[in-house]
Amino acid sequence: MIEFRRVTKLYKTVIGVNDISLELPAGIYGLLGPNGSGKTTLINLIMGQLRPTLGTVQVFGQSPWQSEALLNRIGLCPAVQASYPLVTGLQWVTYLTRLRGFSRRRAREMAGEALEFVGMGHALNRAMSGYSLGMRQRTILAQAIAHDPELLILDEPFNGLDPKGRYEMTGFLREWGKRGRSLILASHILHEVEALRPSLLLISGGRLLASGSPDQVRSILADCPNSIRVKCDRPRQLASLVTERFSVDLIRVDEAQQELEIETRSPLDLLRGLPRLSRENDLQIHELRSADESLQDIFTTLMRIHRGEVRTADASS
Amino acid sequence: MNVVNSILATVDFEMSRVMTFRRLFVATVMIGFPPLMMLILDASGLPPVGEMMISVLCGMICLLSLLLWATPNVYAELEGKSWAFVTTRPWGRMSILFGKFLIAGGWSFIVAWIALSLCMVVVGPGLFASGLPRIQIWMILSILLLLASVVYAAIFSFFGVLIQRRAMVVAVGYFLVFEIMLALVPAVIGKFAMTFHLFSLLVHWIGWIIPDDELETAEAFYLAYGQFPVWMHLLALATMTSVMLGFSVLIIRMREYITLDDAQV
Repeated sequence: MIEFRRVTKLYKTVIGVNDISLELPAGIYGLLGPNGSGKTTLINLIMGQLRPTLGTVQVFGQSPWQSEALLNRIGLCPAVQASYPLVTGLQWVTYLTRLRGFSRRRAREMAGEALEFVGMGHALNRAMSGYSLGMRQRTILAQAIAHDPELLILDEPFNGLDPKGRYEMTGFLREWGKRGRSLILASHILHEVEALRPSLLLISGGRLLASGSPDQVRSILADCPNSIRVKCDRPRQLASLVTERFSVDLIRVDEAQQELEIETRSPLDLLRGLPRLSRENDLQIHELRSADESLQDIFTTLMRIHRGEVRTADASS
Repeated sequence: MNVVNSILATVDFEMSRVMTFRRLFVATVMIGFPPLMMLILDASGLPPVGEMMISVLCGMICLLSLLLWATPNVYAELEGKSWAFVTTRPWGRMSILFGKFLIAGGWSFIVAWIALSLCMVVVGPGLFASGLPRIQIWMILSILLLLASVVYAAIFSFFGVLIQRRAMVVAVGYFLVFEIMLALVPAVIGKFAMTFHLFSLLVHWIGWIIPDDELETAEAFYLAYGQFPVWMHLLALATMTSVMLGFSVLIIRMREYITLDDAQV
């Protein structure tokens, strides 16, 4: 479906994406990376909005740059909120569907169906300026799916959504996947993407750091030092106990914050052993944060693998 | 034909957005200005230069309206964050260029034409120098406004596609330097100004529009503006429109427009 061959995109002297090669057959993909990592650049390359400085991009077997026909096979939800005063959701989605070559009447029907599908049927004829953030996000989703594309690309679709909105969006995306359509979901929040059980593409600093299923990505991380932060009432004592009983690479104690940062290659052993340690020594553990909970920590680790600072058996995968 | 459908869809959509209070208010002020000025000039005992004054005033209104609606063609979409939605449709970029060109040109012509029509109603007969029937003057000036709307909509759309953020300032600078100062230069270079061709057509079609007591000026006037045939002026206007739109198509198709969100990579 999508093929990148040694693609680099430069914005003058700033690197957007750096020597990325990948092949994505039809399926569900989570494009994960911190803000500014190159996700939107990657999407713009797929959509033909940008030309690669080096390398080639192929989408459905053709270069997307200036390929008008290709655009009707893709639906895009950009990470922006467009709003026109006095324009209703139905008018806007109808207009954007008409731009795909449908007649006014057919486009209106398709827009109405798409808006109904995303739960906006009650607000079809209300001005978009009066929509809540969640309603706008759903309207943006409607404009992307109105023409029933083969591939749906969403750039940070959960931005600004309340928990209910996030839940509904996840439900919709699951439904989309069940229909056998392809999906690329760009986000900087791991658990939102993980809920869809996609193949992951981890990107940072414009580079593709890892790809595969969530389990495969975890296996890459399993054999390298994981950072675990523990907040407890006696961090110095806990540090002493941890170094006695577990294999650790590094321990930092912050007395002021009552926090301990432990780097270990066996995070699971440590996480399993901590409750017993706490119980036996009457230690109060207030907070425990592992690398898996923070995408930034994962990327920090992956960047270290990438720079050769950490060696792992699976790093080459 | 998809490109035509896309352009028509944009025209249709933009038309539905034209009727906002702000736009109608601006248009009303613009429409009211030329007839008000003509009434004041008429009452102040101005020599019979009605044709000239009306064409200049309504032309100004037309240009001002085009500056407001044609130059921000791309920037308005980038700033309004609608660029990513429209340009990821087939022929989306072309629909922005031509859809907005048609809307800007059409809207500006209508505003200027209503102002012209009101001027023709309010101005007394003594203010016209040509001696032509009023309906004929009105028709000639209407055609000239239409031509001006088309050619300047193309020029200003080109600036919008080329520069975006400072397009309006550059367009004003262009008009002052090339269309006013350059048009006054009695040399070949002056013929590149579109005002020269529009003014020449005015001279051809209306004829004598300078008061009788300034015959020397009138002769110089004819010499300057009456030397080329009508078809040549029309060809110059059509060529300029085609060249500007042609370059605009090339630029909007080839350029990678970076939005503020994209700039954050």
